Amino acid sequence: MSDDPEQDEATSITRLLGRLTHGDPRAAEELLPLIYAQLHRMARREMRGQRADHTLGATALVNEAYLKLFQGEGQDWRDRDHFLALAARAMRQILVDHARGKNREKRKPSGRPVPLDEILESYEKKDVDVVALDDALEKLGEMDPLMVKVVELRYFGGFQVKEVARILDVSVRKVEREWQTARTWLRKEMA
Amino acid sequence: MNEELFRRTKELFLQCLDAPVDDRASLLDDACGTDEELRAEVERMLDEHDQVGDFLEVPPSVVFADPGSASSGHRPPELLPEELPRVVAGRYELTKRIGAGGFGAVYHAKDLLTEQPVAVKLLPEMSPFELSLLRREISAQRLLRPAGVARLFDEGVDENGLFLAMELVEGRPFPGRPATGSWEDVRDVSLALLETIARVHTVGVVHRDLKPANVLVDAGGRPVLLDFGLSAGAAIAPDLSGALAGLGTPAYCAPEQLRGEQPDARSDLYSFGVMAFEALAGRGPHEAENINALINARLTEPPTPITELVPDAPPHVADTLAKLLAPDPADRPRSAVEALHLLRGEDAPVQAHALVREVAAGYEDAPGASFTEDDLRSLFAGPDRLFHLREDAARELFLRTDGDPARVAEELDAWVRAGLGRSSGEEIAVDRASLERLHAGLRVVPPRPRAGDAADLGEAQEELLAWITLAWPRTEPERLARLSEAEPDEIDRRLAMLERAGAIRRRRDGRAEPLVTSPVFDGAGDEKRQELHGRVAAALAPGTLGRLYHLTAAGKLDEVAPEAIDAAGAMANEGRLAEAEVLLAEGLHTLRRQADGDGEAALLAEWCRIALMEFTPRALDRVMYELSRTARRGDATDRMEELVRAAVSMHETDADRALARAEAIEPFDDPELDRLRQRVRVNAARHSTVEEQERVLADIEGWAETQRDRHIEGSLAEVRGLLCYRQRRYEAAADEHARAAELYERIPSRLSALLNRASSLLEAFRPDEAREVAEEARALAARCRHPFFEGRATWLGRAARYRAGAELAADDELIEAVRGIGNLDLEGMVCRLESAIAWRAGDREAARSLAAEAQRCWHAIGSAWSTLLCRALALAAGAEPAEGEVAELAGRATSCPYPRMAAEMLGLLTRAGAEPTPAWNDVLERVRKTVPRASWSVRMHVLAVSELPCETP
Repeated sequence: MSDDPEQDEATSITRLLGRLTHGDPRAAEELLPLIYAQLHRMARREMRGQRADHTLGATALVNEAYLKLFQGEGQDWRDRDHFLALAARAMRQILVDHARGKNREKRKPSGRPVPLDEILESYEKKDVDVVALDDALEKLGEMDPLMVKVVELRYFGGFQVKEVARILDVSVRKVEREWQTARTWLRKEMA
Repeated sequence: MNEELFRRTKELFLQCLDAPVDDRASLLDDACGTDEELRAEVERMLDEHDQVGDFLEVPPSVVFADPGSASSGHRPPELLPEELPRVVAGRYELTKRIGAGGFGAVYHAKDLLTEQPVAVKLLPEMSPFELSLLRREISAQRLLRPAGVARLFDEGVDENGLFLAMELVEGRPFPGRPATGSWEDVRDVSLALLETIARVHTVGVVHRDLKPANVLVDAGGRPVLLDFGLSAGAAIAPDLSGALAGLGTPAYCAPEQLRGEQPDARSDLYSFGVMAFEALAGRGPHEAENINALINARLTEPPTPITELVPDAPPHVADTLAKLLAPDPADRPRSAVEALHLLRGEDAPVQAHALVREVAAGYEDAPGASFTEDDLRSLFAGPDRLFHLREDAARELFLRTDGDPARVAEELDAWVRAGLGRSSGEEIAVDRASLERLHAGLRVVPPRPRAGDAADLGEAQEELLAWITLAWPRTEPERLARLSEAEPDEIDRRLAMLERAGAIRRRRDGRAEPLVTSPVFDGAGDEKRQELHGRVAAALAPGTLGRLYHLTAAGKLDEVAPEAIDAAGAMANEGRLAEAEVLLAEGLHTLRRQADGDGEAALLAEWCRIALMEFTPRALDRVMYELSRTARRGDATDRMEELVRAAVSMHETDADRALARAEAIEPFDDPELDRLRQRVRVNAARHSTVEEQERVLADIEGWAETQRDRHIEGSLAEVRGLLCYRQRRYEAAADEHARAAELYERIPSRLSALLNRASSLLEAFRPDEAREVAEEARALAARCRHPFFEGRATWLGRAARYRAGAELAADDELIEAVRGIGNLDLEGMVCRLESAIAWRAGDREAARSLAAEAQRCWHAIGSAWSTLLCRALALAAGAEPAEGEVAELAGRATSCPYPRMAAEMLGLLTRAGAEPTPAWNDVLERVRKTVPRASWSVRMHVLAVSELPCETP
């Protein structure tokens, strides 16, 4: 155990990912809270200055977390895929929790909003109620878990269709169909 | 809803989507039968589907280009042909895709502001981490303004994503011609490319993706480097689709790159080796049928010797290529500079000696006589104009050798070996930066010990000799006394003994020069040396030239930053900005090497202060580059970077962004930095509307009341002056600047105020006074060895004479020197003036070519009207107009918001055959009204009011 808790966490994540790749399904359960914590911490950090051209979003955070944890080393692509899939789910949870007010951060004295607020706002601007979306996804998950995974990966993880296909180990066409159906159903449900 | 129903609904829904719309009804009849619930569900889905649009299609993200706006978070924006033309950032019209780099597609575009063609690269969205990597590379490219690298004009964000606007280079991939098997045919272009690579490496940047497609050779045979390190970002960040994006074309990659290791400068050298090999032999050093086999071969087999394919290749070329293509980086030349020497077939030491012999032979006096400082000048390459290269190099050389030919040759040889100078034809070229280092005492070239002279000197003498060696060339007896903690008499005695023993030589000014190394150093461990350096440092007053070097050598890292800051600050206040920069760079790099980050922030703050005092693009780019490379990113460095970016953007991009950027920066805790912030704000406001400028000025005046500082008052006066200038109240402007010059104590600021005063006087039609002020500024700038300020002052003085009506002779030397500064604005002004001078003197050809050069400069900065004026001048000097061009330009000129400029354009176009129309009257009338009659014979940029066409009835 080193003196650096963040480093420990990174090591645990890597180790657990290894287990997951080797087929241990319980590893996912252990991983999720760790990744959640990681992303949440990153999302909480106040933005420094008003850095022009700074892109912030769920997908950016997920990417950044990945790069940070793995420092861009040549990772086993399967580990990476697993991580990213779980990160996408974690991201969904973080956003919803934040929206529901569970972890509502106090506004900093300078009055500047923290990144999560900004991200949520960007969803609102596109007329997406994150809480409603989450409820709808919960419902959908009881009937079609695969479809929900597709939505998480596409919408919270920002993956392209062919990437989703690879991660879920299905055909591109299947992903497209699932995605199309999901959007239709969700819109109907959230209306 | 239950699971079963959902499943069936989904199945049917998808079936219906696949079927033609007309068939859907019957499909549902068959599948649902009596199940009304199912049918209803499917129909609802189909309804919804018609309206789903882009619901949830793209995950949202927030882009902080303008605070408060949100982009739609597009993925890699590669535009399809149908989507073109598309305008980016309201300024660049993308017309055609010309390439896809490792990191985004490149488009041929038109800069709508200047009407000139540029290349625009659109980059995919990326994470903040990738973005900061990219930032670093961008600031690297900005830094590389000199020839050989495609210029970066602009960068920013619009709703398409990130974009870069760069020089559009037309040419053929290296080497620009098919291989002929003759070294003569490819030598020049290969050496030119290697020189560019050397320049790039000198500023610490590695390209990482050298390949023929990235090196275009223009019509003049000059190679231009593209796609600058941008693919480097991708080489580090894995692309999500699983492939390692932007690895570089395997065919030109070094083995270590293929193995996934981080490439460095030597990898670039390898890639260059492959390119040169191919240019000569027509094929690469490894042959294979496909990419995988090639990679394999590269990793496992040695390269084919060039002589197998080109038996006539000169031996030094064959050797150098073999070295460049060595699989182990350690076996390759250590640097591009070294590779250059090898490829040129030079043996530097011989060169220096030969040169000196030649120069000596040119003198009538008996051989063996000493050179004077003047004599030494002919050894060096210029320019002297603005850069004072020869005179300063000669002085440094003389200082170290007293003019003794043998020692001159030895010293020169040492300089070249140390990379401070290089052979350039028949001369040695030493650049400004190296001269500053020599002068600052940082680069001490150690004496070479003469064999067998370590006679028994006695312990005290040996110690003194050690001090002399270390402290050279600052070896005044008083200092030596302090170092060895002895009485001056004692020191004199010991020096005499050393001199008799031939261990030292006494210079005319009393300094002792070491001829041999002291036995104290024999077997002296690092600790001992460090201790000695420490004592030298202690004996020197803070801020003394050379103290920084000794502190570094002594390992006293915690003193390095304060020393660098003090010394640099003192230099800067005296106007010796280049030296200040050198000191800061030394300090910074020492700190970084030792991985101690604490002093960095303070150092960088000082560097910012100095760069913002100088305010030239080069200085700003340099500090931005250093800021972007700092390991300890923090609030402070981020804000400094923002400040510098705001300052940089004033030199190149549209006005509004500069002010918005500047105003977005939070106040600094450090009062000095905060003053700079205000200053940048006020400067940025110049490029915004007059109302904005007035608002900012009022705001700052309020703040300045609380400061009570001469320098700030001076700044305010200067800023008021700039506002007056903008409002065309030139007399008032001149007065304000005069006041500023009086208030300022720091030389660079005084210089700036003097130059602004001269500019204002020029526009106020008082050329004789302008000339006086310009001359004062020029002398001051020359003393400070500040090429840019000296260049500007020289130009102002010359412009003043031109405007007063003098017949001037061409000054080619000035033009040449100005090119070396790398400031496009100044280059444009000088070329335009020289063009006008040539035109008046009747040399129309020179006038045309200079006007064209000026035009290119203005275009690159985006000054549309200045570009037009230059074109008008070229046409007046007989350039061939395009069909209808003259009338078209005349039409545009009438809408130029600067009446005098517009009038000059019209006047020049008349001489190119344009017919005055009533539309011109407004402009001409306004000029005649606003310029006092007494000044009608005084010229403006080119023409005088009295030379303008009359109004059309």
